[in-house]
Amino acid sequence: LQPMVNDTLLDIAMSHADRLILKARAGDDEAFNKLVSLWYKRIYNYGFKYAGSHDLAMEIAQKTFIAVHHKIAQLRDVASFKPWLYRIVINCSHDEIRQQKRTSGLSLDDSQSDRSPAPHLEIEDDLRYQPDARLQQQELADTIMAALQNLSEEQRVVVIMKEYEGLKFREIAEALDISENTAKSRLYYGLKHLRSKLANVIYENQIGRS
Amino acid sequence: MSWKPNEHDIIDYLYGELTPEALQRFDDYRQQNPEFAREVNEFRLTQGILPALADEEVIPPVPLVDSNSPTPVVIANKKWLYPVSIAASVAAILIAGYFSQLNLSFDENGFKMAFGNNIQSPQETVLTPTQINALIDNKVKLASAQWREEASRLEVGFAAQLAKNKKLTAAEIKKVAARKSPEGVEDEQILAFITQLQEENKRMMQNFYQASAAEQQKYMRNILLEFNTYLDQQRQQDLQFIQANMLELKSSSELKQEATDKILASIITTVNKQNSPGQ
Repeated sequence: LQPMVNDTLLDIAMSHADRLILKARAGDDEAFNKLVSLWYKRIYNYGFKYAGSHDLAMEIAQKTFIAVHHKIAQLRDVASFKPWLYRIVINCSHDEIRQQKRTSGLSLDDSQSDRSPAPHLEIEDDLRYQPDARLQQQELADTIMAALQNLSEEQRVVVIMKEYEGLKFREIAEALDISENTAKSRLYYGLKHLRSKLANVIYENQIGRS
Repeated sequence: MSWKPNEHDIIDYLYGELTPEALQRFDDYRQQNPEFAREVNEFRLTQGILPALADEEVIPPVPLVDSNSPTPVVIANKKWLYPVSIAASVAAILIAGYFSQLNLSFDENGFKMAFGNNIQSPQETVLTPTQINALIDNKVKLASAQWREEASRLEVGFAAQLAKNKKLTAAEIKKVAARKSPEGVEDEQILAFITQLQEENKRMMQNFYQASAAEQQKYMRNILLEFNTYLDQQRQQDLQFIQANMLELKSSSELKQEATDKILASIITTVNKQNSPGQ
């Protein structure tokens, strides 16, 4: 895990991340904190797209890292940290939504209206001075978010992991404990469902471009 | 052509995971089947629109795990937490200020906040070698003046004592001269008396020099002690200064480490996005 002279920045970053995992696994809390800093944005954004709510995403991220802290000593292979982490976030997300449904007494779809939008901390520079474009961008994002929430949980998880988290099919299969072909099938039907839900948006987007 | 791409092939095509042969076969089929080509294109368009739901920027919680606590403490960045924490901090400061005599002041050196009685701290001075020499000179001059004063006092006392002895001697000589005693006895008495006077004078001179030497030693010791104390204080101040600098260096190093971690997090995010063709 020592950095070599010819390593790229990515190699060094990955090597650093692996070292942090090893230290955290050995009980180094400082390394664990840094590991959380490295992965917090990814885990939060997974939770946000999965649950469609900033507050739920915060809860999911918090519970995920508490679970990671409890279980990291059991992590066998550092190379499989990523699917292992996503397996935990998937379970935490599932539990959080189930708990939310139980406490609110509403169905998952009904609870959408109660979900708070995420605070937009950063606005893209080119949209900062274009209120109309920004509004359109936000509307498009909201539409996609709504379409994502409309997917079945199985499809939504795979779509988020592939499209937004950039996991390989092998990693998705490992995280979900399914075969790669099953992951591909779920992704196919997820995208197909999104295609039908977003048909109007896609059409308008195409007209706008042409 | 009997081969028809299945859902796995379509997904592999969309995510660039087909082998060159399989890709060729897929493209051939797509060109020969406009309906299929349209379907694949719609998948591509769907993929293309998904990045409009961009990542949210979030601040990682700090601190995450307290080493002193058996259970991890993950403080979430709830949006209401910031104003509440600021308000709580201000309230705590005001309450503490009320009970501990909060002093606020603003001068050319900036804003100062202090609790308790305002004690003027001595100005930190860093002396130059010239100033140190001047300080020593002053001390030596002062000691010399005191020494001279003491010496003159002793000299006056010594002179007075000598004068007194001289008078006594003269009186004794007169007394002896006035007596009508045998010649031998008279000479012996005079000799004894003079010897006694000489001894007394010698003892007095010895006392005088011993006393003056002791005084001088005492003053020099005081000067050296004061200078040693001053050097000790300077050393303590230097150590504090070095310690403060070291702490600042450590803090700066930690900030740089944090910045590095953020860059690494950004790299991981970028890598994830690069792995995702939809982004």
